[in-house]
Amino acid sequence: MERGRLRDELKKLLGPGRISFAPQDIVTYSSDMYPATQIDKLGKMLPQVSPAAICFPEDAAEVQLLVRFCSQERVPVVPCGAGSGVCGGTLPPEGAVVIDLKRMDRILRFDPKAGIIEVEPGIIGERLEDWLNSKGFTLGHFPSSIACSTVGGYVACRSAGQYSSRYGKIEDMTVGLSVILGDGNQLDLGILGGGNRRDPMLAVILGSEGTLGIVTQVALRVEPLPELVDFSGFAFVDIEDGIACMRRLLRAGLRPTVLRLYDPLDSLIAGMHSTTASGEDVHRAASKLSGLKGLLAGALTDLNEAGIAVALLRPSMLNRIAELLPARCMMIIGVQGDKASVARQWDEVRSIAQACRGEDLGPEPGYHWFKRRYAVSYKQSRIFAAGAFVDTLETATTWDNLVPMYRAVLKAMGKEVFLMAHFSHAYREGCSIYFTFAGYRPTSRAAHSIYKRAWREGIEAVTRYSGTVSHHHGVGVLKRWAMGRECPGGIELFSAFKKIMDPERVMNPGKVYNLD
Amino acid sequence: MNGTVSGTRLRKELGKQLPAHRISVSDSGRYVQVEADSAQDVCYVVSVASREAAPVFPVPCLGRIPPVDGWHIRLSLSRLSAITDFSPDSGLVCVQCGTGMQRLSDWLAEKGFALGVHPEQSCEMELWEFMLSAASNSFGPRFGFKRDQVLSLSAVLPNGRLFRNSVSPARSTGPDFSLPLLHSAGRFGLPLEIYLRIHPLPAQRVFLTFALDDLPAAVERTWEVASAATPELIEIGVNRLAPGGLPQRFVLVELWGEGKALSVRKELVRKLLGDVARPSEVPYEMLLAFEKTYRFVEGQTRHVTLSRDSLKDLVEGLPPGGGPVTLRIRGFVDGLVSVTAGCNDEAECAILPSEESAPSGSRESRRILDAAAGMLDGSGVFMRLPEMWGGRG
Ligand SMILES: Cc1cc2nc3c(=O)[nH]c(=O)nc-3n(C[C@H](O)[C@H](O)[C@H](O)COP(=O)(O)OP(=O)(O)OC[C@H]3O[C@@H](n4cnc5c(N)ncnc54)[C@H](O)[C@@H]3O)c2cc1C
Ligand SMILES: Cc1cc2nc3c(=O)[nH]c(=O)nc-3n(C[C@H](O)[C@H](O)[C@H](O)COP(=O)(O)OP(=O)(O)OC[C@H]3O[C@@H](n4cnc5c(N)ncnc54)[C@H](O)[C@@H]3O)c2cc1C
Repeated sequence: MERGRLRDELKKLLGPGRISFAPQDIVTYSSDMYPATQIDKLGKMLPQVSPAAICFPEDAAEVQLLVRFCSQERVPVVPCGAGSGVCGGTLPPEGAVVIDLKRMDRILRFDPKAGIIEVEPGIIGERLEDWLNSKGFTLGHFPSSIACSTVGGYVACRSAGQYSSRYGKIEDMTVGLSVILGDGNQLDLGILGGGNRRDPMLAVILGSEGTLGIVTQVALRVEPLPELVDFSGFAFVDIEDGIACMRRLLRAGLRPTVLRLYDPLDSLIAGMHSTTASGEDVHRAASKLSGLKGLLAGALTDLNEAGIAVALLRPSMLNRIAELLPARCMMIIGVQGDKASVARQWDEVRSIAQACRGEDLGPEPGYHWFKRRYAVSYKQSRIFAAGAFVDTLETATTWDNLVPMYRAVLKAMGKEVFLMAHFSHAYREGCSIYFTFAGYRPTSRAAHSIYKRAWREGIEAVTRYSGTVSHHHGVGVLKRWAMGRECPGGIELFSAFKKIMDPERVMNPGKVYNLD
Repeated sequence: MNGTVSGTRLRKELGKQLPAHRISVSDSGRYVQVEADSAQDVCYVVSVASREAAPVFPVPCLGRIPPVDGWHIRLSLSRLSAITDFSPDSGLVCVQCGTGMQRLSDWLAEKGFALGVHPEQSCEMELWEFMLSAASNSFGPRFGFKRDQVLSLSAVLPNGRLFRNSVSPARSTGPDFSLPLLHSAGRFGLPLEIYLRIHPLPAQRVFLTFALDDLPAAVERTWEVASAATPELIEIGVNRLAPGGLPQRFVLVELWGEGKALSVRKELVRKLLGDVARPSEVPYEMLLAFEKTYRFVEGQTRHVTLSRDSLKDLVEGLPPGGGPVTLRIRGFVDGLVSVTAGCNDEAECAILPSEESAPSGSRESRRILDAAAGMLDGSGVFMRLPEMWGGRG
């Protein structure tokens, strides 16, 4: 449909103030936090494609009106929460209608006895958590982006928070969903549809990233706030020992609130007070490395902006130097419960950590992490400010595959980018590895090219070990090409559901699976 | 489904990739039986079936292949019986779909491990049937429902393509299609290989059996047992056909552990059930082997998932002194139970919740699942699999 006519029709559907064609909005909604779009911005390139309109519905009926209209007219629809997605999940096709859900942010029902809350999708995670805390409850979902992401975005991407080892991922908390499907019909699932949390269709909508419909209501399981959450730090001689400790904790049936093991470099960058095995401050130890190595190590440990760009031009060398850093691996552990239960858990944790040659560093590093737990992600802006790019590859696999996969990814991506990792989101069978990588090239074209190559090499290494190409960020457009490896045959099932739920294929085209 | 394909043609098409000695034809039964030797074989057979619009039925042990107009394919999966990966560190075993559940359990026990659900021994059931039929498993709050045992799987889709998801404890890579696969009695596809969660065998297993007088009170108390003692297995039986000497209403509890912690849990269960149940002398295994004692009748058996409230309504609504139904109530996981219910005729069945009224999914959810399965399976290859266990086709 021609842009002008489309806008006129949309104006008829929604009242004034609920739709925008303003150029600044059009530009803003043309990208999200997908680093490839940030690379474009570094090159001062404006987005190549742009949406026709941004709509701000206030309830499910308005969403339904919009989707029905777009389906009839075959206009692509892109649902948008807070736009914090890092995989391009909200990148609009040319002329699309973006449906921003942030005005649908009401808390609809809270049943403390059943431990269930029902909310609209546009509520920001932090606001929901604060509200629940005021009633003595918690959702237990703490993504680093909690201040700038919505519940709708969480369920659409199968998000995970920092306390997932205890509370699970958002899919484990979701017991009901209402969705406006691509054909405009409403679908109520789980407890919102008279069924229960084991409704198999919940698993189809969770993670669908807006490709089948728009989530307009979410029922979530909540829990009473624990009496006490307590943190501690531990240092391990190497990654192998740290992972053995994580595995043994989980297999012993413990469910720590927080369990994060940082590789030596990530221990530094995360700003932890890391020491070498001999107890020396690692910053000091790093500065003793001679010549160029010392310079680079200094740039890294201090995240010196001028140094970053120079250093990132030679990622292989940088990665080798990082290997020389004499740091140990830090682990942050958190446990919760009443006083007696916390004490019991610490006894068990300490005895397992000790058996894995872990040194108990006491509460300080744990509380240091806790204070800065949301700040670390935002450090990335300094790297972009230096003209470089940064991204994260989050994968997961079984315990046996973890170390080989970690090393394989370091090796594969290390040719193109500088990288480090931490291990978190632990399960009885395995855990997630979160690689942070940074690269630099003087032109955005060259930067794009190494960015793409790094991803390709990384994903190939991950899939060689049967790991998943995404543990919690989703697929978007970034990892779509890898879905054939991640889930052979998945596209067949996706197409079948798509034909039933979104026959005109208007919902968030080109995300997750490429049907064209 | 046009039903016009002939046995000769099916045999010819199948013979293009499979050796003749693994294909046999029954003219009287109007089916071609194929023994598959690999996942590729299965995919090939299903792709031929899809092209020729011939229904495929894996050869079941518990279920029964329904009458079919025209020719169909019977697929023996028994040769796909390898244990392809065993990882004590990750607590996982990878098993091909034709592996006998009892054999798997024995094999694991030798290595000091067990599955989180009990396969029963009414027949040597293979893994694929164990996963797809609702009929035969026992479980409890500690390890969850049958589907909770699955970490990842591969399956053959109705068009013969292979489906597989990554071997990972969690993912955010689009919808999780393993749920429709496991919750549709095979209409979305047949599992070929499954990574199952396993658990170290405990130093000790304690089996407790209780006979019940007041069923509603015992049901309420069992929820408390589930949350306070997290038993490895918990089951309430209402067995109107119980042979002489067996209680008609009973609770089974299994606890794993050792030492003091185990004794504490055992005492807790006894205390919680103390005033609503009497300890029973009947051996646990005898009560557990429901096929031998409950005798569910094909076609008059329902499987429903009930919440605590709807379970309460059901048991309170039963006529005093027994009533005509047989119930097997398992799970007590996440506030839900899985109920298998049997009755003799329509009138008796009226007091049971129908599969329509108490499913896991909403009515719309099932409509979409049905429609998507139909869309995927244009030639109706797997459409009738649910009928093998008495479900709707
Ligand atoms: C600094 C930073 C830290 C982060 N940390 C974490 C973390 O710790 N854990 C984590 O899981 N993620 C993290 N993320 C990623 C991101 O926050 C999550 O993916 C989040 O779930 C996205 O929510 P959103 O509301 O911003 O969604 P958006 O970015 O607006 O959308 C994401 C996808 O969901 C779809 N969508 C949004 N709302 C709906 C709806 N109502 N119905 C249907 N589809 C919808 C969109 O179409 C898009 O495909 C981080 C991101 C940043 C920038
Ligand atoms: C003929 C047939 C039809 C089925 N249809 C459905 C269905 O429409 N929706 C669904 O969620 N699962 C259905 N199932 C069940 C599902 O395929 C299997 O139970 C599967 O093993 C799921 O694993 P689980 O661990 O969750 O199963 P279980 O632990 O056995 O139970 C899962 C839940 O599904 C319910 N269920 C089991 N059998 C049936 C049944 N026949 N009909 C309806 N619900 C059942 C159970 O009550 C239980 O709460 C069906 C099974 C059969 C044999």
